[in-house]
Amino acid sequence: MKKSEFFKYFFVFLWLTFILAPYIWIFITSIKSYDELYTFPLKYLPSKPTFEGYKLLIETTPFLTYMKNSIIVAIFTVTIALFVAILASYSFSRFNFKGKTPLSFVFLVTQMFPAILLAIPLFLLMRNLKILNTPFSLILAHSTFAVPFTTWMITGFLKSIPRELDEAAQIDGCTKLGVLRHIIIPLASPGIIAATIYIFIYSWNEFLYALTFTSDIKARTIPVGLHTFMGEYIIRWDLLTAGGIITGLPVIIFFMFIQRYLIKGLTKGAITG
Amino acid sequence: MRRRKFLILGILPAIFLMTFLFVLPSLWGIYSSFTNMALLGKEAANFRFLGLENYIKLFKDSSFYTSFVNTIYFVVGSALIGQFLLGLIIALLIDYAEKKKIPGRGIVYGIVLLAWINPTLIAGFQWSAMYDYYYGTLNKFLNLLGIQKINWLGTMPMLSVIVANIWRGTAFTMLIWLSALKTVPLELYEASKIDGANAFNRFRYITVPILRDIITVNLIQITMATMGAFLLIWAITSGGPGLKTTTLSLFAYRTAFEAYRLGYGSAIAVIMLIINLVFGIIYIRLFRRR
Repeated sequence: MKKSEFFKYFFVFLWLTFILAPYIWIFITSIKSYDELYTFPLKYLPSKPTFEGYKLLIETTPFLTYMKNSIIVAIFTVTIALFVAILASYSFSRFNFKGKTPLSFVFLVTQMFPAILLAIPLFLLMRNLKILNTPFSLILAHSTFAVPFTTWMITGFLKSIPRELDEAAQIDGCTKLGVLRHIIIPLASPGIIAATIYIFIYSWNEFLYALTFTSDIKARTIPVGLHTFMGEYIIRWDLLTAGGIITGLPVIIFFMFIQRYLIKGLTKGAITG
Repeated sequence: MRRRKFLILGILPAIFLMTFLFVLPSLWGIYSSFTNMALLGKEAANFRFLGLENYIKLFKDSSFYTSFVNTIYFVVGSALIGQFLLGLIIALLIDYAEKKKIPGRGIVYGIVLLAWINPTLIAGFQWSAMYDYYYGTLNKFLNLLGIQKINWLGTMPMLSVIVANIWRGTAFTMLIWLSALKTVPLELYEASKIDGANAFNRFRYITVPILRDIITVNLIQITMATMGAFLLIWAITSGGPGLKTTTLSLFAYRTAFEAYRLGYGSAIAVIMLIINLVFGIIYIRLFRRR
């Protein structure tokens, strides 16, 4: 093995250790028994591993409701934001129109607004629309905040696709929408997949709006739900850590699902390109 | 005519969402920074216009300066040096592994993303458990090596939260870069290889110019996300010890939602917005098409 090869492997190994190390604690804690969590002196390893924490989490807390809400919000946010962003990026990357520069500037500036500045006005807006404590409020807010960045990102990807390809397809009798569907989307699929993952994770993890818009247990999402396991006097480590592990599962399933499309999109792109 | 119609239809949904859920509420937010609006109490209903009073008070507030300096450390350390640079290196390594079809690359990709898909609150607890003086994983590890325990959060609190934020956020930059690298036509690399360009020059003169827009947006996104991060720091150190890890976003959150001083909190958020704009302008200038 060459020296430079060795360093590449070594760096990846170090990074993986760095990523996985904090998971050791969360996993170990999630399988500790309740007594062992709160007795002193604390032991690092559990003496009797148990899945009691997971059982308690599912049976005694509304965790499954939180999870259902999170999934609904994330899936609708992804669908809406992606639809809006792909159309907008197509317009941005392929047409020149009046107000394009200021509009793209507004999109960019949106990223720069601290979420805190908008939490209260959006709360008042949602209250007036009477959609507080419903998934709609979060879907709307998350979509709005995901659209600008996603649009910029996808526009960046679309710009790297040569325009000659669209023109060739149009000569072959493709409509504008046809070009978007058959040429642009497949070729930009790595970017669109990245955008999908970004929107999903953003919505899945978003905390501030979820906290301000939902006070009813029935409407809470996972990040806010987990937050409620931290009482004033006691932090329920068993519930928090088990929740942390379970929260990862739908995301991993989502990734597996999306990666298949990624590969499909790439090969399709290679044929058309 | 068809062309115009399509254009309008394409951009309209975005404009609609942005106007009602972003532009108008943010104007309201900026307006509130000039008032003594409160979250609770009698100022919640009857607030007064104060002009620049909040801002004047802010510039006399020593906590503001401390949080401002902390924010700059936090952003430069964790977003620019950490997430951006490390995310790029990891993306290049995975891209290399994909091109060479090295086995295990899919698993590596999945693990790298693992930290990012984690709820931030959990990530915060994971790291406070890493750093804990008595029971933390890090000190347990040092113990195995026969090294003295270190009081991570007491002696190096800022570095500790920076490392935690690098852990949490790097995967995002990697994801963007990895997808972006796929869009660079391979023929360009082949041609420059024949011309004798080395790997660094290929990256500098082929990859970077093509991906310019994506790089700018990525830098802006991670900078702004780091600027706004409060939950992670809150879970690890709560901004302490003292004010040592209090960033502007934590300060704004505390002021608006814990002290219920909405107007003053909005003023802090407006200052954050201005800092963000400065960073944004620097990035855009740096990667502008020449």
